[in-house]
Amino acid sequence: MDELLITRDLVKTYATVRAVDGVGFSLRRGEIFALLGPNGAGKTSTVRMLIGQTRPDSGEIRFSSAHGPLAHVPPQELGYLPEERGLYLDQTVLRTLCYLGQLRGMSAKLAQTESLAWLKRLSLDDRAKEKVSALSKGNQQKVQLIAAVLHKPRFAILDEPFSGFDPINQELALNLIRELRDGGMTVLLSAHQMQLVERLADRILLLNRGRAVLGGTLAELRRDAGLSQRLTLTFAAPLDAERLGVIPGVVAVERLNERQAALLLADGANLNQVLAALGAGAEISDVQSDAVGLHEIYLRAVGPEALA
Amino acid sequence: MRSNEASGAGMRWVVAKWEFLRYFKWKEELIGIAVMIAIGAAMLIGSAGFEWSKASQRYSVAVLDRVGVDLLEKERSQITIERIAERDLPWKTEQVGLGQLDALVEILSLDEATVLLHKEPAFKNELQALLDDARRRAALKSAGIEDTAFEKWTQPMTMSLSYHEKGEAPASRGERLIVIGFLILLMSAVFTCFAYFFTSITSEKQARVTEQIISAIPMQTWIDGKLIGISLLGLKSMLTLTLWAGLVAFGVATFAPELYAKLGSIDADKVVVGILFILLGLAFWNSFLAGIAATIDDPNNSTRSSLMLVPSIPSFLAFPMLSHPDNLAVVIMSWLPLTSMAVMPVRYALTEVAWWEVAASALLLAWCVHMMRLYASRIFRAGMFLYGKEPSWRDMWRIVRSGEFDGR
Repeated sequence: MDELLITRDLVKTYATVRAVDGVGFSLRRGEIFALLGPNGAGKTSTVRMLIGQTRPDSGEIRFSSAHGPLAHVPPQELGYLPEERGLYLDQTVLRTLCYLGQLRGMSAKLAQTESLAWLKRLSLDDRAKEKVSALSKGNQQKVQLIAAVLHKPRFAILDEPFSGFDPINQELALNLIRELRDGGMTVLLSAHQMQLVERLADRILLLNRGRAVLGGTLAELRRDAGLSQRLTLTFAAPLDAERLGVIPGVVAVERLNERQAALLLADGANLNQVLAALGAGAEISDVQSDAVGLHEIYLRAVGPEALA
Repeated sequence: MRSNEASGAGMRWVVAKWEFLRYFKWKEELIGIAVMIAIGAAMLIGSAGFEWSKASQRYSVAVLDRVGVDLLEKERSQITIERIAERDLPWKTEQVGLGQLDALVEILSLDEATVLLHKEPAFKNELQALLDDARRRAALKSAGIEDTAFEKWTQPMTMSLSYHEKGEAPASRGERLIVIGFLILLMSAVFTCFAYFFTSITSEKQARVTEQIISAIPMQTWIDGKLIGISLLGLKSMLTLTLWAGLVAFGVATFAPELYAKLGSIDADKVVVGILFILLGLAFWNSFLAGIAATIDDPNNSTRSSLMLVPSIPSFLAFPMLSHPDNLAVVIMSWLPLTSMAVMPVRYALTEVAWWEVAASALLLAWCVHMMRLYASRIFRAGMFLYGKEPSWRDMWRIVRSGEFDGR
């Protein structure tokens, strides 16, 4: 896969705040790339530089546009679902979509045809002539999503695409984004639903305080974060969390209740030895093992100060 | 910032069409016109019915003349006079009480008459005129003066006006009416644009659409499209009013041709100058409105809202100038871009204005349109990203000067 977008050493400072501090990453054609981080990590500032709303103070952005390399993503090749978003509530769903499609360079006729097709696909075809204000929050979110990809962009930035969706529609959105990726669209994703991101993203970049702290596939993130597995243990008697924390290979202990704890194991930890040490001190009545999830990696990567 | 293929004139028109059609609804417009026609027709019919009823109304007036004046009924008079003798006075008085007689007049002298009534008289003015006429004729007769001679003396002296060929003939009544109409139309356009800019921009800010829109088109394209679309709404309101005025003019020309003829001719160049200054003036003030509206966060509580009324000032100022178009203050205001939109067309229609003055004023206004568009778009750019707060006056000054603002 060749690269559609390359950024190097991006720096952006607002007044006295360095919002982005030497961030660099690349996106391959047809992949879903998740940009994660707590509030103020520099995600929005990075995105605004990518789409040309602001210029980096230093660093480089190189987008392989259909018309040659550019220093930002051109509007016709960009699908954008921003964090700060909304719709014209006083207008009909179809008119709103047609307008937003036309702003992305579609003809009025094509925008209408594509809008109707998308509305049908998302079971909103019978609401096309209704005002946007008549739709539920979830359905408005569907319209937002349609507006972002209506014009078949080569590159889409989807900020919190699952926000406002119930679990069923979250699955719908997840499958939709996968289909877009499979159709050749490159997606830059930002979301706080770690389980969904984990299922969806091909690669992930974690930002914190304007810097990239971890990047790669989920397996690479686990490795780089020094984590491998999560053990959920149930003991026959009340547990001693301090004792668990000093067992070699155990990186962190989370006491779930009096008899239950979750342990994060270091990358390369010997599971047999860990289990033997655990069993030596107390009787274990149940054990469950999972690969370490993005949620744990994220929390450890952004540090306790971000949790405060 | 970025170079954008979508920044062309085509995209401006996409935005302009959207803004125009967002508020212009054919169906509602036609219903509105139909309702106006229905109201107009109802008023016309009601008024005609009232006039007919009034004309067919007769009033019976009994007159006891103690002096011997010659009280004459006029042609088409609504009053029927019945002369009575002294002996009829009691029962005529009773008739007034019963409402069977409208008035009982007793002429006591050439200077005094009493009128006994059952209710407030609708014929009071006509009765007064009849008494005045009778009194005048009686006085003339006693002085030995012929009626016809007196009438001749009281005619005004004929004063014929003519203008030197190098001078400026005054505006016709039609042109004066056009000027008043022009100012009314201008105010209508300004208020329409004020309302739509206010609604359009503050609702977009509240709906948080800014980031989506400007990721697709440059900010300048967005504001330009808005200016065109909403200015078209202002022009539409002017056109609607003009059509109504045209309808009235047609009615006058059809039913009262003699009145229509009094309006005189209207010079085409005065209309052209008016249209030119309307277009430039709207572009200037609408740019201002767009910039101010973008800084308003809460339309219900913002003190900035009152600033949106500033563009109506030129039209208000121009009204008193109708009678003094050559005053120095008027001349200065016809040059000032803040007021020239309304004042120069008024001056041009009512007095002699050199062509170069009109051209220079228009050029100055056009340059100010360019500058206002530039500064307004800077404020618009910064204002549309501000949620939950308004930039201070100092911030706005900084934005206008440098075009930069990092207050978001």
